Amino acid sequence: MRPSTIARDAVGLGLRPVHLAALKEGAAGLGFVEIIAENFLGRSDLPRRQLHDIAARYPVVAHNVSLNLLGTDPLDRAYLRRLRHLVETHRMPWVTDHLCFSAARGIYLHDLLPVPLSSSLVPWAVDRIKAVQDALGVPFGIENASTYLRFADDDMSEVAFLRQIVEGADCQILLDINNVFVAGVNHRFDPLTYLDEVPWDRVLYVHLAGHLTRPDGLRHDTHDRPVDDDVWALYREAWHRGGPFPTLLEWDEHIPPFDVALAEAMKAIAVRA
Amino acid sequence: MTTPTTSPPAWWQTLEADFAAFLQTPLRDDGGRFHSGHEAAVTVLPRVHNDDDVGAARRLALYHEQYWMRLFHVLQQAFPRTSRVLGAFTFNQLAGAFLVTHGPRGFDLDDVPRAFHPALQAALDVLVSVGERARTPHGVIHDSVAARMARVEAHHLPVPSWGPVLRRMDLPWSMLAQALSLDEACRRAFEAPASRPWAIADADIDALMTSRARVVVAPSFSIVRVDWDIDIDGLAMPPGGNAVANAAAEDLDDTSTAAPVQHATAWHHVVVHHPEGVRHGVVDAVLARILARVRREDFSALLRHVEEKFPPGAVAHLQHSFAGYARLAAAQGWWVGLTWSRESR
Repeated sequence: MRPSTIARDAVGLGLRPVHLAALKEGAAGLGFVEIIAENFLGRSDLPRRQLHDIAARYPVVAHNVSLNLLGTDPLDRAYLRRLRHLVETHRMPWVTDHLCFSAARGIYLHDLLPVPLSSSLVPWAVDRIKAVQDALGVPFGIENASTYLRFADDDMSEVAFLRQIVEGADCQILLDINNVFVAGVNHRFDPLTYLDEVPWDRVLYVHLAGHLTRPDGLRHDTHDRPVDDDVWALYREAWHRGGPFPTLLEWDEHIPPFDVALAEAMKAIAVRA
Repeated sequence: MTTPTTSPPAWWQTLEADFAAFLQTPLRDDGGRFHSGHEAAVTVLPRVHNDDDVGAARRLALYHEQYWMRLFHVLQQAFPRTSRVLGAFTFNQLAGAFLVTHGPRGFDLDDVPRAFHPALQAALDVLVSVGERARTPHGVIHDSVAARMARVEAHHLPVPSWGPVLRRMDLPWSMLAQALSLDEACRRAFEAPASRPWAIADADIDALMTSRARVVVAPSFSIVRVDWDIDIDGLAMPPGGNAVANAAAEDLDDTSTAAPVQHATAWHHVVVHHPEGVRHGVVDAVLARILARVRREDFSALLRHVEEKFPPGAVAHLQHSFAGYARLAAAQGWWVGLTWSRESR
């Protein structure tokens, strides 16, 4: 029987097809499941049937990658209608997407692309996110994306940009701890300073994931390995600043057996103790 | 839903468009690998912060390569056998050339393979239309993609820039065609409604064998004849081939090429969307023939066909075996019901 709410200290996993059978059998301690919503809005009915079984056991939240929140193309209203239907069908408590653009001139770029951290872009972002939130009818959160470049005309920090937007749109935050760390290394800022400026009362939940260190020193958000020790340490700092909050592990490449992934997610409980 | 009332800053519209155009610039493929060419970034490079050892160009290249590799990966996943027979590098060359003019236009990544298949199929159709097959004295056909492409103008292809790539493809064109057909059968099955196993009754089988009813085939069901060892699923040919099977392989598929068989006999792949997922297997040639023909004719027509085309005894074999085949087809979800003739209602 599925719990009616997600506990503030819950630990969750991103739903991946290779883990379906194990999830249907039941996973002790797993507090919620996150889906990549686009994977359940396509033509095939199979993912939706599979989700039906999972949503009967676990609370499910919808995470998106294609809403194109800061892009300049019109919002995709058909996509938003289908997303709302999915959210209502499975009584999802909230929806999230990234602080990025992901489409331009009618082409979906299927990536989380960086935007200038510019005060003159904030009103546009606020307006778009208000419209999305209104279309979905549930709380909406923005995730800080992993980024590999900054623009020359940036006039504020990422966390200040994020903060201005969520306060202007009166929306929530999905804080990705791994992304804070990755961006901190890639752009030479102190991730602890970032955490100090997070408006914790707006954080719906946090993400954890593994990343790659490239030969050139850039950290690449690959989601293909266990969480880095430095990210666990940052997670502990985040918990002390803003916990409790639900915590979710993403693992998208070289996905291990379910037991391994679940054990990695459950490390969070020991780390923050 | 409310509509945003502000307008995006003009500078952002320009930068966004330039960045997107940069991403969609094809990767270079010299040196046997795909990589970002720095010249592609010339418009956006001055807009990127650049004050460390990594450098703005390398940071941009990460996004550039990530855009293309994601799309290559999506297409390789959707067409694993086609990618295997072409080789990943050549497959990506075809994919890249296609995506230059057919970038993703929706949130659903499956749109990409959905659009790629008709284009590659159209290119193969052009090859099919070129000349007759050439046989050696040993019966082996040296009819490669390259040989056929030598007789095709590139502008006749749906993607003209595929011409130079296909002219280098020294593999039988039927191998490529069959790999694409099997990949597409699996892809289409995934998108079609699932069919549940059906416990067909003896009375239903009797109705089929007396032609009072015809089979309703699952909408996701496909059967694909494959002569080549392009399997990626570890399938095994079912045991128990027989005279009918071995004699019958030729006319199962009207578009079959009679290309040289690498398997001892042709393999007949069946694909269906089962409630648990897409299922893929191999059946013997007799069952393959039945499965193909029941789509368009009743049992009496099937018997007449066997009587005309096959050795004596084949009709008796079919009558004897049909009930077992029918139960298997129903249990696997290949057949989902009956449609009754008017006289039977």
